[in-house]
Amino acid sequence: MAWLPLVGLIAGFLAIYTQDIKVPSYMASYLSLGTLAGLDSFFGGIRAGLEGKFHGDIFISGFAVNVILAAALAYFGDQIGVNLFLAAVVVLGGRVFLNLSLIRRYWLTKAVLSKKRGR
Amino acid sequence: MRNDSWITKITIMSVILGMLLAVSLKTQQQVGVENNVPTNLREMVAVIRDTKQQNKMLKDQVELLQEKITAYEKQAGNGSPAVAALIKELHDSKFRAGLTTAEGAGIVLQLKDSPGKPSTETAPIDLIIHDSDIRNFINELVNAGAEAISVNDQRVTSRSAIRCAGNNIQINNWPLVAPYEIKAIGDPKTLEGALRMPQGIVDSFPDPKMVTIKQENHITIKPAELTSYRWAKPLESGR
Repeated sequence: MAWLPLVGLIAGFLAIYTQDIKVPSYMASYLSLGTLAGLDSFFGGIRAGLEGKFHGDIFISGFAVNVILAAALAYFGDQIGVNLFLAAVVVLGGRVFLNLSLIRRYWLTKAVLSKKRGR
Repeated sequence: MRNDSWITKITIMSVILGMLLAVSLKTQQQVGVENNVPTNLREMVAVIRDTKQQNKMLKDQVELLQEKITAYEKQAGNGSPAVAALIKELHDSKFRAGLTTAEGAGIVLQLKDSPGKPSTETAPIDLIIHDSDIRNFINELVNAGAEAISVNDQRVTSRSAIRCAGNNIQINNWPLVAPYEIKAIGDPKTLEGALRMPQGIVDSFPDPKMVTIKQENHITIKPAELTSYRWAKPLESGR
């Protein structure tokens, strides 16, 4: 079942990528920041699920709010001349890496445990 | 079952995330396309060459048509004296607007960049001729009573702008390069005197080689091109 999110990711990607969608280019940086926030929530959700601490409402609301908030904050920062974009990238990027490493750790632990049990 | 539920929810979110990824990737690609518009230098050169050629052809055409008009006017003038008077007035107006060739006594001055090297007293920027120098000269010449002025055969009229455009100076939107030859019709002595006044415009140049002035008994100054008026209209009542 673990491969389902990956399939979903590819399906969603292809569903949009094959369409002819145009977004104004000044929104490009905000959009990519929103995507980064989405990635952060996504990996955070997987991590929480592996830890057994997953709450559906927190995850879904966090995903939506983070995506919009990251983009909105970066836009606001541009308006007042503070580069909040960079701050968001550093924080979100750091969290993505942290979550990924934890996910890896859990999976590896699980694999080792199941191997021991199998023996 | 509990295990399955979080995977389902994450799958739903991952579909949305995939969409987000696709949109931002597409947008970034679009930004990349928008940012490198003029890439092919060779193509640009060809375009410029073609445009120049076209420009020259059109100019020739304008000249030809101009000649035709003059011929027609002459023909019409041969008829009634009223028409002849009108045509004379037309020529007079054209002359005043700088649309005909003007001739007479005057001065020819040449402005060129100094061949000297910059020193502690002269900055490199002072050793080259700027658009402001040409403007100042023209201002000084008009003040001294010059009646017709051209720079490198570009007639200076009330519609002429003199401005710096990269490496060259544009007058009447026409690029000119150094050395700049300013012709002015007027009393040669007065004109030269105005320029050579102590502490005057010629004195303001660090290198006297940059300006040469010659008095001439006969110079001809080319006409300006007809400009169109889109915004300004003459007053209905005449004055």
